[in-house]
Amino acid sequence: MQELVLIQPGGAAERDWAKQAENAATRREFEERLAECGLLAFRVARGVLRNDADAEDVAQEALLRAYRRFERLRDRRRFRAWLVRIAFRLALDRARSAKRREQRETLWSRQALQVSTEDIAASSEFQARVERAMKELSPKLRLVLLLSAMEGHTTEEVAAMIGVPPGTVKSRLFFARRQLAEKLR
Amino acid sequence: MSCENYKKALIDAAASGDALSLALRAHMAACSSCIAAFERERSLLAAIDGGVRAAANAPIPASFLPAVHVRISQEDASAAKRQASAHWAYYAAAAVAVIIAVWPPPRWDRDALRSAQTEAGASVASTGRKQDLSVQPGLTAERSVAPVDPRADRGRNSPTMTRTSASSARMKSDRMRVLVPPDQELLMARYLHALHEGSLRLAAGDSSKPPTLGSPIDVIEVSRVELLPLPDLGPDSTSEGKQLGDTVNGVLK
Repeated sequence: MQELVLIQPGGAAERDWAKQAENAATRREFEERLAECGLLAFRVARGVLRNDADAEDVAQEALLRAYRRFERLRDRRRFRAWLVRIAFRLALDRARSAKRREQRETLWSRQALQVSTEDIAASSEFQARVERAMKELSPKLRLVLLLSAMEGHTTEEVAAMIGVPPGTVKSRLFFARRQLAEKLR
Repeated sequence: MSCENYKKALIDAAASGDALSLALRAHMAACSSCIAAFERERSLLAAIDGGVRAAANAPIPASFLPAVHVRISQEDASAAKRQASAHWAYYAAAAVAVIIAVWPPPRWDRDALRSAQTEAGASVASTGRKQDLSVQPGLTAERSVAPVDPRADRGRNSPTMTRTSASSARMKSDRMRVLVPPDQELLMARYLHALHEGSLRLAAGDSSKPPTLGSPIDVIEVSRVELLPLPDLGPDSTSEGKQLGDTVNGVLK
C-alpha cells in the first residue's frame, strides 16, 4: 500500500512569508548595529594590521560573520564587544599569516613613509613617530591602547569588549604607554 | 633615595595615571628637577595619547560601509538561492517518488511473464469485471494445475498479474496461471485443490453427470437449454413473438 503525503502549498507559502519577514527584521536590526559599530570593527582591524586595505577586508569579513550568526546572539546589547572580538581574532589570524605579513610589512612601510612625508610637510613628524612606535607594540597591547583611544571607551568597556578583567586592561595600557614613551623620549 | 630612582617612579606614575604616593609628593615639593621631569613625562604621554587617538580615529574609507551593505545583500541573495534550490530538490525528490510509485512494472518483467504464459498455453486473463475461467475442450482435468494460494493476491484492488521476476516466471512456465478477483479466490482455490487431489474429474462434453466434490462446494444444477432458430418476424410480430416466447418458456420449464 503506497501512501502519498500531500504538501499544502498554502502552509509552505505562509512559512516562507514568515521566514522572510523574520529575515527582514533581523537585517534591519543588524543594520542599526552596523551603523553604530561598523567603523569600530574597521578600526580594530586597522589597529592590529596597520594597513587600510587588509583592515577593510578583515572588517568586512568580521561584519559578515556577525551577520550570519546574529540570530544566535542572545544578548544583543553585547553586540559591540562580540564584534570587536570577531574583528580582533580575524585580524590576528591575518597578521599571523606569513605571506600576508610580508605584503603587509611592505605596504605598511610604504604607507608609513607616505604618512611621514606628509607629516613632515605639515610639521607633524611626531604623529608619524607615534604610529611607527605603535607598530612595534604587541597586538594585545596595541588593541588595548587603540580601544581606549577610540570613541572614549572606559577601561571597563574595553575589558568587556576583549573579555579580560579591568585590571588586565589597566596593566596593558600602562605597559603600552610606557613602551611608547621610551621610544619617543 | 636619589633623584634617578624618584624619576623612574614618577615616569611610572605618569604612565599609569595613578595618583602620586606621599613619598613622591614630598620629594617633588623639594626637588625642582624631578618636578620638571615629571611635567616633561606627562606632556610626552599626553602627546602620545593624542597621537594614538589620531591613529585610532583616523578617517575610514567612505566606501567601507556601502561595501559591507553590498556584501550583506549578496549574502542574503545567495542564502535565498540556497533555500530555493533546497525547495526544488525537495519537490524533485517528491516527484521522483510519485513516478516510482505509479510507474508500470519494467518491460523486461512483463515480457518474461508474457512468454511464460505463452509457454504454459493456458493463460487466463481476467479483465477485472468477471472471472473468465474456461477449460478448453482438449484439456482434461488430469492436466497438472498448480493450486493457487488464495492469500497470494490478497490486498490488491484489481486482479492484475502478479509481478514476478523473469527467473521465477521461467521456472513456473509449465504451470497454468489463473487470475481471479479477490472475492473468488477461496472458491477457486478449493476447486483447484479438489482437481489436484483427483476428487473432481471434469471432462469436456461430459455434462450429463454432475461433478462430485470432495470439498463442500454446492453443486449447481442447470436445466438443459434448447436453442431454437429465430423465425422471421413480420409486421404483426407482436402476437408471433408472444407465441414464440410462450414456446421457449414451455421448453425451459
